Amino acid sequence: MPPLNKLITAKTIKLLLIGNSGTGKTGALASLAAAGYKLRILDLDKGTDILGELLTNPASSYFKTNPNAAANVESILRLSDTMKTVKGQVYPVRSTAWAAATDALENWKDGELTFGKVTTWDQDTVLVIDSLTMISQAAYFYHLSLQGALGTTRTQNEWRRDIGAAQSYIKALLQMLYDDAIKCNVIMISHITSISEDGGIPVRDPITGAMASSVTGFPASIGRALSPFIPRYFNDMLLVKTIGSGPGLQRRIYTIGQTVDGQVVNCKTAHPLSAKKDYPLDTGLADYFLAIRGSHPTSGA
Amino acid sequence: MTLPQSLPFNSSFSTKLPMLQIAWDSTSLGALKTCPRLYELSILRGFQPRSLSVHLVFGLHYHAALERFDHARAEGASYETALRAAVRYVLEATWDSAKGRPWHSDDPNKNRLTLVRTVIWYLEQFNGPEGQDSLETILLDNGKPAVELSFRLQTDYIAADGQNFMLCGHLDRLALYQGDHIYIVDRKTTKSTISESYFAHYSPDNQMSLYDFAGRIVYDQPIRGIIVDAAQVAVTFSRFQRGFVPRNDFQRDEWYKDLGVWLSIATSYASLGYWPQNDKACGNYGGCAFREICSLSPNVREDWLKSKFYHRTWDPLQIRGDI
Repeated sequence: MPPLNKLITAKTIKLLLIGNSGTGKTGALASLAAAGYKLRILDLDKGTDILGELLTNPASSYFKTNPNAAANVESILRLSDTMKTVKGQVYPVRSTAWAAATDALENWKDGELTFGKVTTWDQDTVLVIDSLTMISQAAYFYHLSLQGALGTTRTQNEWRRDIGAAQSYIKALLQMLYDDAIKCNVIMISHITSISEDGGIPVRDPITGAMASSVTGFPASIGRALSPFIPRYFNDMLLVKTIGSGPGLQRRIYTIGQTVDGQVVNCKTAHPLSAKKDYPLDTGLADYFLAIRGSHPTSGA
Repeated sequence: MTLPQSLPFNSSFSTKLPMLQIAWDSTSLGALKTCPRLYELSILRGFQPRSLSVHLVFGLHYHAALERFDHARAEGASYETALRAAVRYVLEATWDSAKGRPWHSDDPNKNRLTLVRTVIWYLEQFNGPEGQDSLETILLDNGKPAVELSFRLQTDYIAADGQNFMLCGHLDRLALYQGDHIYIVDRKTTKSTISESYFAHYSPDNQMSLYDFAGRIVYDQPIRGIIVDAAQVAVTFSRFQRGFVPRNDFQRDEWYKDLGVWLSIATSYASLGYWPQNDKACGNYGGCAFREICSLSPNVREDWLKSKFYHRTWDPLQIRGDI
């Protein structure tokens, strides 16, 4: 490894974007499209319609800044598993989402469009996985399907093993995304899961309603064992949080830890001196990319 | 130990350098890697214990019974009929007509009863009267299922007699999973609980790496990976779990590079006509079958070998017959 003063600063950003549902994580991607980044999105959350609204509505600030921004969202692959309802319970019938997601990383095809293997993508491209929570569930169903156990009742031990197997699929995916061979930017969108000091489910005091022990919020995957280790695979972990309510509601992206619903959610950035402590959601991701990379893509802007 | 003047013909060995194996399967390569002396005795000279290990017998019957099922289904038989064919095979194969009694196993986990149970429970879980296995056995052009498939491929490594070294072997099953993804499915039986750590034992693993490497080359469509289809056989239950054995391109390159080194080492031993003991491997996996022989003085080993072992030719190029 060269000495630190000769080390070329990486321009690739691999970022974990976490926040509660409805805080605006998916919509935050619009600023990147407006800034000229090419977005390719694995949408397992079925929440990307917001991007269409933000990038094509003439009243939107993104459209006013860059009328061609919508074209920068080059591909959205909507993936889901087939479910059925039996006596009020929802069961998976067929598992296809995980295989389709991993196929896409090997050779991304969207109708007539082909973008090839993710390792061939450049630094002006952003791979988005929306969300870690849903792709973890897809991995779980994929594993159950292999066991011939999709839609069946599992014993406690089987369930534990299944969760462990799904976690190992996710770990392998994260290792792959972390690898230097992937030179494009990566944004993994995730919800928050609460974990108590002993690694279990937090318990509230029944009288005061306060948490019985200190609780930390981690990226939600499947089960709880993997969540505390997920941030290791990303140099940057930003939090999307809403403050206030009604007309005064603000949505912001934080680069330093915050309290969310009584729990601490840690953040991290590999560039604490270049990055601000927080950004407005509307422009936050683009501002953060600019702070770290120094410039936006020249084409597509 | 002195080598016999001539060895029985073995098509996997060089005709010019009869001690040099040209076609390598995972068993022979694994033996070489474990202990050169083990390789010499079990592969080169073909010694095998007179009584087969219960695990080997159990595994052979288990594989063959499920193969019967796959064939019957491929021929259009119903689930029930195919299941009956598999069970009939087990009952007949484990019956010793000469002695008028069933195969006797002292192992409480692996015996005739647990074998029949394991076959039935496996087929019920994955095929069931109503279900269809998510792993769909590929049908070959001749209409037969892709089970017990033999393969062979030439490597870039050149042997001292000028031939290219080869890799060969037999795959349990080729199956489709999730549409058009082809996997090599390798069936295993174990007494151990099948957990993540069980599957972790297969990375790295000589057999799996060889199958993965070969599978990428020898079939029309590239193999996507390997699935270990494991059965835990306990005294009162059988349980099944499948897991992936992942390999990436970097790992494949490394395995192939290592293969070249091992083939050079095999060539050196063949040139010397001597395969040394690896006395750090004698206790592996419950102890080597030849440990008792190697513990004797070299001048008496031949007699003991002949009395305790029988000879069979280990020739991985022999294609396994259709059932």
